[in-house]
Amino acid sequence: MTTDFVLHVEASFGVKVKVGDRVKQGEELGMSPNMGGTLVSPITGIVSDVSFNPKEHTFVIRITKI
Amino acid sequence: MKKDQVFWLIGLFIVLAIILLFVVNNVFSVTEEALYPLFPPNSQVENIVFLIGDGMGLAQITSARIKTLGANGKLHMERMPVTGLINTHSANSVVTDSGAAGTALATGYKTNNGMISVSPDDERLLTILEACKGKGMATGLVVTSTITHATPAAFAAHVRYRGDEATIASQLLENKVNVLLGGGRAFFLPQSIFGSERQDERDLIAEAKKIGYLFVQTKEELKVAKGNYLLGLFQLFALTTNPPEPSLAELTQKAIELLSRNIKGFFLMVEGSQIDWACHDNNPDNTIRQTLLFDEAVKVALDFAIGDKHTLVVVTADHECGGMGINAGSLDGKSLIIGWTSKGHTGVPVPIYAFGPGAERFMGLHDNTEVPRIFTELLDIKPFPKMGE
Repeated sequence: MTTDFVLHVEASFGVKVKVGDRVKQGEELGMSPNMGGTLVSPITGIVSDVSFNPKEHTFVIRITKI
Repeated sequence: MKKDQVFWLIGLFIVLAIILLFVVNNVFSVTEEALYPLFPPNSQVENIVFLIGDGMGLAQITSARIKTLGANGKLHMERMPVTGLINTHSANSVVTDSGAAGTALATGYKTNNGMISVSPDDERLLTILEACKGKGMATGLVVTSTITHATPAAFAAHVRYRGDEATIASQLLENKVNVLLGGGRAFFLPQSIFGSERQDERDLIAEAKKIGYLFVQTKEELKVAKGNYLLGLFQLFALTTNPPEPSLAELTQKAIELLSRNIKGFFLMVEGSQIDWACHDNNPDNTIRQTLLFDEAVKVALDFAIGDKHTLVVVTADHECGGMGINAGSLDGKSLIIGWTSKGHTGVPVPIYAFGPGAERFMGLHDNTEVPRIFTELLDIKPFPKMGE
């Protein structure tokens, strides 16, 4: 069974991962949506999707736990 | 009159005629090259149309030009007689967001990323739109995003965080901006209505009508709209930029039609909001399309300004987005290889183009905070910039 985590990072400063990347728990993903600091991956997994969300001006990152 | 006096008078007339020809030739020497003429110095500015292409750097403009007109063509904005560059860094970063960049372009002050026309210490900053309103000028905001998005918000709202679009919506109305056209109905509807993004029961559309706004939401309603206050929200969120919605050029045309009735002049900000979004997607086709839609709005502003002679038109961007590059292609634009260095904004300067009285003030390299300061100097508005109150 796989578990997906969906996270949003502020788009202005880009996104530090791309689809297919293997990320470790605590690895930086980008700036938090309220620009209060950086956002890190809560799990170790594979980035399965990165898409731009214009409504919130964020990138939506999907990470599949491995 | 003696013969020698007549001779000297004729001679003087010839010399003056030659000087006049020389001056006129030099003042308008850019005309053929730029197609839009420079205005003679000391023409009075009465109106300003300020067009902002969100995320629009030189590569975005150049690729749109090559793809549609070939490498030797010129977009409308490129035909404007004065060109310069502006730096875009914010108070806390070399790479700005649209909130801090909009604040700089609207207030003449730098602030931290994410903030809307307040200082890093949360002091309220007077905007160019508010300053113009204080002088009796009519004001307007026209966008393809939500009308509550960071760039339009920076001209008529004051919040610590750009995401607070519900508060921004109420502040736009409190500021009584004469013309508000774009998307974002979700932030004006009470939470009990499907699609609302508000956390309260305020019905801002009803409130707007109560204070004198005409509310429209279709192209047909827009066409026949009249009056001093117009709120046009054509989608719950951003515009689709496709029919049956009115185009950005049509929205700009309507805004100018209504605002130009004010005898004390007007200030209008128009944003091509979705160039930025196409660049975040690293999508060359949509980047070019959005830039061309924006350029059509530029044409509308220039057409009005040419006839009016007292309207300054300024076109710029809040920042570049995507680190877009043109890596290869053919001169006729049939093939174009685009590269991207980023999914986010970049810190490079962006172009600024100007036409109309005072346009020459935008030549050279400027900081983005200088743009509204120049506007107020040309309109003789003091004091500006202004913090507090």
